[in-house]
Amino acid sequence: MNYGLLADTAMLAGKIMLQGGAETYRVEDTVRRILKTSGAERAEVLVFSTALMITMDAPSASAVSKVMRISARGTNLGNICEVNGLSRKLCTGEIALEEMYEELKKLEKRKEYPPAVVYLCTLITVIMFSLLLGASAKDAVFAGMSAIVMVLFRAFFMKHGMNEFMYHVTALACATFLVSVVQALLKADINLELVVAGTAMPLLPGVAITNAIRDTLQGDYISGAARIVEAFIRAVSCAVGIGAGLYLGHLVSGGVL
Amino acid sequence: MNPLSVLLQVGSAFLGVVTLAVLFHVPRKYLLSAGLTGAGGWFIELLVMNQTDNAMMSAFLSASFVAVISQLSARIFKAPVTVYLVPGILPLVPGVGMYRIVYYLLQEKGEYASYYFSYTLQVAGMIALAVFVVDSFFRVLYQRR
Repeated sequence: MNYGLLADTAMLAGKIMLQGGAETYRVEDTVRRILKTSGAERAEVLVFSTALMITMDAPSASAVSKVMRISARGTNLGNICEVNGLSRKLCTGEIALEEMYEELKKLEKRKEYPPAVVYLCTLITVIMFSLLLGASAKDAVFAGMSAIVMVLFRAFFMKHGMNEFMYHVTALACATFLVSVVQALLKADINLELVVAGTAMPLLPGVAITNAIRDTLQGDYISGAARIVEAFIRAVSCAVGIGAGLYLGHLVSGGVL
Repeated sequence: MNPLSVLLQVGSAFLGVVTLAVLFHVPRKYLLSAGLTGAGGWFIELLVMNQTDNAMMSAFLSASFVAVISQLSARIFKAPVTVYLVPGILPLVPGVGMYRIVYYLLQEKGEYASYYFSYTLQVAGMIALAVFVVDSFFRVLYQRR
């Protein structure tokens, strides 16, 4: 049994899951299952939302311990599914360890949807969510306009690898600013509240909130608390962006405030 | 409730949740069921809002519905629960409440801002409670090992 490769595979699987936004207990469970395939006497896993630690010990081999810092995190539910499926196959012996490692390496780079589809979906999501909140057809046009701003910022931020907080603040500020100024210029009779709230909806911390609950329920209080803070920070970043946009719009055009 | 507007609302909930699932990189094969989960949740929200006009009640019931369907679909289609739960819950999250907090803070109307702050927290809390309750229930039902 190649303990080094096993540990690397387990770490990589854990890393991909955590970066995709998996619950902490699910990551621990998967990593532990992978380590247990070696039949090692002791296999301990400790996962936080920002770090991954494993150690393996058996009388026949020297102990292996690894620590990994997880910095960037996003939402990629597809990767969570894939890693889950791969680890299940490894445990039942359907695939070999080497094969799994290669698959995971590929998974790290893979994109389920091309950027163009993601951008188009951002546009549709924003329009649909503002309709759900009760927007009229005219509001929906404005929502589409602000969604285009969001898409442009997304593309820019992805290219330069900037952090999420700045993306939320600047993108929402610009989108809100643009909508309120255009509204004031055209003297359009739209419901700014629904347009802006619809734009912000996809950015709201849905993943963080759900994971916070599920981690806390599992007894993972450290991760649960960390995710509650994450959710709060995310909500604050949206709020700051909206606030800045509204204020600037008011200064420039004397629009609603 | 006007049937046409309900149909329109549920339809846009479906489309919104599917496109949102794409943003979260949910695999293609789960998109349809994720969308249906979200649309069903929104329908319950509309129904309860129409019958009781109680935002907390509708948030709780619709989130419970989404959570139950997510747990069931996850077991039927052998996918992690998160795949259904995260996109399905998002339409219920109080986005307008958050906007109003900021709006009234800017207008220096503190009492309105704090009213919407507690309102938003309560709705979010109701959604959290629903997910919590359903999760615990299913954990007892399907005890592993």
